Amino acid sequence: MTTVPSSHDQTALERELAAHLTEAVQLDMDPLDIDPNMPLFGEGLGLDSIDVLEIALMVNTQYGIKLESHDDNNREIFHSLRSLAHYISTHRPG
Amino acid sequence: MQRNTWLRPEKGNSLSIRLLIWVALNLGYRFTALLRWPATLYYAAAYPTVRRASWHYLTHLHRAGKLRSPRWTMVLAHIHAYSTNVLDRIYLLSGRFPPQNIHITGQDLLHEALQQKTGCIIMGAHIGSFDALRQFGLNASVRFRMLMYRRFIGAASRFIEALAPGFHKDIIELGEPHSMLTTLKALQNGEFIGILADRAHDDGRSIPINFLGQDAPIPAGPFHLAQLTGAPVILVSAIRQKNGTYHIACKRLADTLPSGTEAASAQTTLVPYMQAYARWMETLCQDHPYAWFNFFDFWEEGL
Repeated sequence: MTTVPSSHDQTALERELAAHLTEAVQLDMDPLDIDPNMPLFGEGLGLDSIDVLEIALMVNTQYGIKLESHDDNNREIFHSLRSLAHYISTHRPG
Repeated sequence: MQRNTWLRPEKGNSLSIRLLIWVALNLGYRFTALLRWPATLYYAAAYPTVRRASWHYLTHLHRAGKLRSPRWTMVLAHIHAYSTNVLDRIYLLSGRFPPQNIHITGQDLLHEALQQKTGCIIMGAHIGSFDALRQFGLNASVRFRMLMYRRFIGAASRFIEALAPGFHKDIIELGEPHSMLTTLKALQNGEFIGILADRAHDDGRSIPINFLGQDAPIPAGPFHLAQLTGAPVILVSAIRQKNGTYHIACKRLADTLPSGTEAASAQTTLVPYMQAYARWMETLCQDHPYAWFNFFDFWEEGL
C-alpha cells in the first residue's frame, strides 16, 4: 500500500528550495517546517520586500532564473514555497 | 499607553489644507506666509505630542552639546519652520518655486553615478525639504524615483502631492512584495532612487543606533537594499536658507556596502554605515536645528 503524500508535504525541489530560502533570508526555522502553501509575504512567514529581493537573487544564483520586476505574475510567483518551486521547475534553463 | 510613532495618520484636515493651497496659489507667497504664525500657535496649542516631541528633540540636541538650553519659544520656532516647509511644498510641487532659488553643491558625485550607469541611492532624512531635491531631480537626465511608505499618508500630503503632475508615477511604494524588485530593476537601468532613511516602519528591520547621545531605532532596510544591489549611496540634504532659497548638499556615504561574511552577519556589516548616517543627521541638526521634521517619539522614550 502506498501513502498518498499530503498537500502539506514538501516535494524534493521544495525541500531544496526551502533550505536555500531560509539561508538567504536568515529565517530562524527548520526549512522542513515550512508549509509549502503558506504565504511567504506578510502574514504567514512574515517576509518583506527586501526578503523577496534576497530570494530573487538566490533563485538567480542557484537556478539561473532571472525574476523580472515588471512581471505581473510576481505576486503569484512569490506567493508560497509551492508557487515559487512551480515557477522554477517550469522556467529552469536546459 | 499608545506609542507615539509616526505610524499613524498625519495631522491636519482636508478642508484647511485645501483652503491653504487656494490661498497660496491665488493670494501669493507673502500673504500666505503671514498665516504661518497663527497656524504655529494653533498646532502648538492643539497637539501636545507635537510640542513634546519638539521639546525632547531640542533637549537631546542640547545634551549632545549642539544647542543652547531649550526654551518654549524654540518649540514655537521649530513648529514655525515646519509651517514654512509645508508652504514651500505647495510652491515646489505646483512648479511655482523659482528654480534659480535652488542651489546645489557636490553634484559631481551625482554626475559620477550618472556616467558610471550604476544607478544610485539618494539617501535623505526628514530634515529640510525633499521636494526641493525632487524639483532638482526633475531636470536631471536620469529618472529619479522615490521609495516611500505611504500607508499613513494623510489628507494634507494627498492634496499637496496632487499639485505635482505625475507625482505618483515616480513613486515606488514600500510594503508590496515586489517593491524591492522594482527598485533593483530601476537601479540596473541607471536610475536614481531617493529614500528618506530615518523612519523605521518595521521593528524587525530596525537597529538601535546612537543619535544625539541616545539610541534610536534606525531602519536597516535602505542600507540592506544598498548592500544587495551594490548601488552607491549618496547622502543628500535640501535645507532652506534664511533668504528663502534652498541649498542642496551631496556627500558620499559609500560606493558599495560590503556583504556580510562568515564572521559578521549582513546586519552587523551595516552598523558602521548606519552610524555614519546618524552622524550626518547630527551635523545637519546642529547647523539647522529647526529643520528636523520628525515630530514623534523618535527615540521611543515615551512622550
